[in-house]
Amino acid sequence: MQDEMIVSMYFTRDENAIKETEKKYGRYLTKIAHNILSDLEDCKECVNTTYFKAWTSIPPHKPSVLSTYLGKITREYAIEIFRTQHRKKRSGSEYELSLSELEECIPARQSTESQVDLTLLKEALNTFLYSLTSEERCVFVGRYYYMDSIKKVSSYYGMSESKAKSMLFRIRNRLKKYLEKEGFII
Amino acid sequence: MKKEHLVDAIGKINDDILEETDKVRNQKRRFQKSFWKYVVIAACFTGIAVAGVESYSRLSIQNPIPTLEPTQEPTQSPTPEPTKTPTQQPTPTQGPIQNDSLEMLILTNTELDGGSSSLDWNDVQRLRAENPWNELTECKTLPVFKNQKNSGDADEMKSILLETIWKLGYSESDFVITDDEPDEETKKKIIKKFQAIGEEVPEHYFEPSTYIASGEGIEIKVNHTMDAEIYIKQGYDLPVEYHFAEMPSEETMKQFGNYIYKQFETLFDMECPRMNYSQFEPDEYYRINFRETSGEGIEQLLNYNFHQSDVYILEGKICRIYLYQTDRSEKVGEYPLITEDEAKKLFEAKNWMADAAYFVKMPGLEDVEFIDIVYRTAYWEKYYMPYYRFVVETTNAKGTFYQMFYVPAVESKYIENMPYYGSVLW
Repeated sequence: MQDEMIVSMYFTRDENAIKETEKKYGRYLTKIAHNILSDLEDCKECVNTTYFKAWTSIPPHKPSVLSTYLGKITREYAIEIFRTQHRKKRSGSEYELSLSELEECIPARQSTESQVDLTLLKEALNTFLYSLTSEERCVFVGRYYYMDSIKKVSSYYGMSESKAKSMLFRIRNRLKKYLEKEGFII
Repeated sequence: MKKEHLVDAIGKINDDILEETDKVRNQKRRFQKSFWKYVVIAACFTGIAVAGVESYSRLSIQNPIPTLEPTQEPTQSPTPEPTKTPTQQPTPTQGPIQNDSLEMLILTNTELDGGSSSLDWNDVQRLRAENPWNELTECKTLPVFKNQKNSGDADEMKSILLETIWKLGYSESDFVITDDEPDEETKKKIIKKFQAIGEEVPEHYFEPSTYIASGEGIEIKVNHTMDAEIYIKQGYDLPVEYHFAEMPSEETMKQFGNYIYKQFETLFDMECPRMNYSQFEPDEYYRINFRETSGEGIEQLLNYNFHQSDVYILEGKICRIYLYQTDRSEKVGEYPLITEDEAKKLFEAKNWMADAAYFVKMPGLEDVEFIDIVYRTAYWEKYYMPYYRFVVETTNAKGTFYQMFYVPAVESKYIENMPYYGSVLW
């Protein structure tokens, strides 16, 4: 089914929208979540949450390409689960507990500022990525957005794993210099 | 700046960049045509005998989910009457053509019906070889059935859920059964959403649309389509010899199919299962499909089309099983078929439906790899009716692949809305 049709089902609050989304993108989203979480149960929770978030955000959002819209939700939520789990693992330490308590004291304004910083960083990244060749861009995005393994990334263009590794190394170095030039402190 | 900030910012890069990468990531890894001869899957697993009801034992799983122990024998549990399976249906007969009494058929989704799914040469050759239609090409009529799905009947949903529990070898007491009726807070939010677009919440909107049985290590869902989905939470470990890093041999795939079937034979409930797979990606997430091929002639064709199950495997573990509950108890009639030549004319006149929303070029007869007949059994179909399936070769920059186009096999005079592709994408 076309994305447009699925989105229109969300707009008419037709519950088959989720079924169709799962049918078309379930595998795609599971793969994104699995690259980050590895645990099947967590992946399932993450993908189900993606469907729920899609249900509650469309409308007002009207994504033209559902795969990227849903993929972003999945990736973001999977990272959130990952960070929460790792925070919990560390939470035995009083240092971590006190840090987490102190987080509550950080004013909301600072959180807004960090959102602005994130937007600026995103814009800088977009500019940088457009400056790469298509092959470099796909290798970079495959590794650091989709978090595909080096083996998988190298298979995109039938290159060797060592070639993919060295390409990523060079791109990371260029990105570092670019971000420093743009005033981002690394 | 912390590395987390960079990760978050990468998560927000522009969609066109993601789409570009997606296309590269999703291009299929292809195998040489000559490889086909090594990977043809045998038609029927010989030696697989389906256990009868009296021999139901716990899941028949050699490697059971450890935390679920039976509380009582399945046969003693208060289980519902099993719902009808295709093999329990009256055997369709090729009776006289009752032209005057046949009702008009309505097609759903008459333009485009799929995503960007495409198959490679090996996939389509397996499809071609396995279809019982190959033995029925002289057939003049085929039955059409009314789709009984989508009734949303709560009792029916629960009944299928309990039957699935029973077929897995558990009893109801092993599970907590819930439904998806939203809580009051969620209801309020939904009502607000409707109000925001100037509409009221439709009647029955908040009634449960899914029943869920949750046990330790396993979850079963049945929704309004009446299909049953089984999630195995930690994954069901496959033996290490079935963790494929590359495309396995024909013999290995046959053994693999036998193995999987054996683990869940009571659940699949087939007399002569036939395994197939497509878009197989070793060491990743892929699907194995089982179809019933018992019976002869039309009965075999119907079993093949209507009685099937899917097993989903992620990195060496079975994580999900899907049981299609396609009910063909309400037969509409025996409908006369058009010939393959007549179907070709309709195909050329674009009277088809497609599985894919994207075509490199308008398909022509010169691109057709083969033609056969299948039933379309998706839950949204109003009628289950036969279609000529045109498997068409397409080539783009990434290579050659195949897409499916469907022309109604029933005479056009019985179809209220013949499909027509209106060139909307050009």
